[in-house]
Amino acid sequence: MKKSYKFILAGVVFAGIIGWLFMSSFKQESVYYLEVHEVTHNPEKYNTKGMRVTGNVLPGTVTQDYKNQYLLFTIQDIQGNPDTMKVEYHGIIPDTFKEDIHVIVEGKYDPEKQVFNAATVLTKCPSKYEAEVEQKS
Amino acid sequence: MGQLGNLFQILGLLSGFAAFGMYAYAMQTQNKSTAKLADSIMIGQLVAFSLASCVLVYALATGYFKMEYVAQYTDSKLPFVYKISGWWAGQAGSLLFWGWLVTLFAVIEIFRTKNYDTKYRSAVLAVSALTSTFFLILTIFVTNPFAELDFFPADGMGMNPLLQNPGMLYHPPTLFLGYVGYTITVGHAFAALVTKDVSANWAVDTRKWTVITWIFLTIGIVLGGEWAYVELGWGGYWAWDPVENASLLPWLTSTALLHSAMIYERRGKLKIWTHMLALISFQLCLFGTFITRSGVLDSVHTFAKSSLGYFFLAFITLTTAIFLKYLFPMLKELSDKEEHHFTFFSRDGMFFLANWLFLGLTIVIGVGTMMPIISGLVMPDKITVGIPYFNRVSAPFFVLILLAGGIAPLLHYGKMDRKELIMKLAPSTIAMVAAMGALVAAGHKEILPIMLLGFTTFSLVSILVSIITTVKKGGANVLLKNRRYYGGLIIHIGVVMMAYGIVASSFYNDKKDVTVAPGEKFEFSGYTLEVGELNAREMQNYVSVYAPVTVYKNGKELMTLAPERRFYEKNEQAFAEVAISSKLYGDLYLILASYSKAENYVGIQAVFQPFITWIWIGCVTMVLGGLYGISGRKKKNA
Repeated sequence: MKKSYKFILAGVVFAGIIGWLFMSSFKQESVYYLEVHEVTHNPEKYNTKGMRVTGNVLPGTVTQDYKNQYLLFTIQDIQGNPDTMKVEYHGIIPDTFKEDIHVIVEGKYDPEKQVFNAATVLTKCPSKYEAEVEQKS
Repeated sequence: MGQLGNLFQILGLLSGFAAFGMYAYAMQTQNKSTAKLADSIMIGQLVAFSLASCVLVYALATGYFKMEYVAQYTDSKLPFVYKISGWWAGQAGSLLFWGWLVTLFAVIEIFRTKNYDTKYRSAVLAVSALTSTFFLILTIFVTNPFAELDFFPADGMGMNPLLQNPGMLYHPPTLFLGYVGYTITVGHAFAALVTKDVSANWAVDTRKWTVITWIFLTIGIVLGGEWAYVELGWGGYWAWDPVENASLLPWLTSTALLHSAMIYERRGKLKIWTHMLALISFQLCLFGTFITRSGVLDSVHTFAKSSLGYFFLAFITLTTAIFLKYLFPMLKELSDKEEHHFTFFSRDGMFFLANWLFLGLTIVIGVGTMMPIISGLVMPDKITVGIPYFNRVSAPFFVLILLAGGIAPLLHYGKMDRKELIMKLAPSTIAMVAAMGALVAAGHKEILPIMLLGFTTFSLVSILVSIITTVKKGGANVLLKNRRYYGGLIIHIGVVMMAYGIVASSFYNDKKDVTVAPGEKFEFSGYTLEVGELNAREMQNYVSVYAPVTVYKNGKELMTLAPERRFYEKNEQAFAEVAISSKLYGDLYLILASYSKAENYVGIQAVFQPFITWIWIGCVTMVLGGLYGISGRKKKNA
């Protein structure tokens, strides 16, 4: 009996530690997972944490400077909303970055300049590329 | 050609249904001749599956672009090996490949279990037949690799340059092998429940399967990391991406399975656990596919959104329900009144602890990965967690696992004398303090890496002490006789090596970005790097532009590295190909970040990753340990 008591106690302590670890990390390290229109409609609300935003790079909006490792582009909501958002990024430009692809940007929104300062720009891994085959005449 | 492939697929599907039905019948009635017939049909399914695969591979190899799948993933200029790898490079093909493996493993098992009890083996094979048939349903009705276009394109769209890497040849197949093998393990766990056998026979019998599968999964995960490491833009060897996590979760639960199966066998405890872990490992392999193929999570890897994920979800739910239906009536017989009688500082205690740690780790990583889904259900805003979350929550678990892995081999089963315990732990504790002291003396200030490296050293010395003391006691002969124990220890040493590599490379790396004119030199991390004139060369399906960088140390020329950017024919943008010099003490990693002939500059990013090679060496050691553990010695009770 005594032993099983010990066992349960250890289990409770262990569950407590997991719970605490989880909650504390979650509080500090979680970011909002958003679409473009959610950010542009309500930037103050989400600026309390970091944000991770998915969008489509609008053709014709990309300024890239390889020498100074600078990237400026506009992304559009992928759920069909017309909302767009400017994104600024300093760092090595990902190889797969180009117009009209899905990107995931992480960072904070600057409501005054209306620019999203991205700390990272992720382009989708090509394993998903399932472009339509077009007939060439 | 597409029709021919489809014909084979349908033959496979029909034989799959028939085999499953017969096995299910034989499972209830113990009818030997039905089971025998089902065996032949299963072999027939393998033949049909193999022929379908041959058609696909032939179409890929010869560039039969009328098949949409071939046109999507290859083109006429693609090097031959990558054409073949198209089998598993795309969605539809990879499912065909996976299903084929399930059937292949099932047929191996048909021959291996020839003399087993009919009821038992029918249950094992029913699970395989159901699973392989499920994959055929997908490749026939949901995403068919043999679908043909109504015209014949002049050329295919080509494979994405990032996938044209040797990694494409090894990483997906090993990972799939690591997923598929658990079909057999869970089949045996299920069969034991069906036959109401509470002994550890099933766990002992599948040990080799489980270990081999685990080895493949380990290799698959680490190869993926290695590939992401050499390919720029995938965030280094591990970025806690949902897809990476999806492969780690079954690895964690199956590692727990290997440990708890030992307690099941040796001590007759943790029986329900072991059954559940077999089930969970199997399901997590499929669940990973649900995550990656359904588009429910945004990952850098995800395949196109499709209804495929929901088929997986349905299959997972159905098979789990069946398994649990057979588990529930057995709960009483499987549970052990003595279950809780153990002391923590014994080998059983450490095994219990390891189980909890692996499970805890699975939960925090799983919850983190699923966060956007979970938060979307219970909160007004979708929330996600990034790399810092995963590092933070997983680090304490990894530390404890490392410590437990070092201490456990020193202990024996049952109660231990306190004095003996202290004596045994003394050398590793001293080594730990010494290692930490040395790091502080060397001028390192950050506490976390010092602690982590200290714990790693503790674990390493503990393992070495276990080996030395047991060999002293039993002579060098024990190394050959008790392969399972030493195989396990070798795996633990591999884990320790990996830990050194991970901690050192993540905390002590060095990075520098420079833009220089060709001919100029710059200092980096104790090296002098001289950037040469830009060059270009033409290859089979790309043109490469590279900058030779000569590396000097203390005035002596060491080598010349050539980071490049490649221009593939089917792509507008350039792809960076990094140049790496790997040494045991660290990697020098150069990226050609930018260049311009007109403006006469070359941009180089240089990174120094100390001890990172030890991650790969650790993996090789783990694999060798696993193989050593299952080598020799015929199994005793089958």
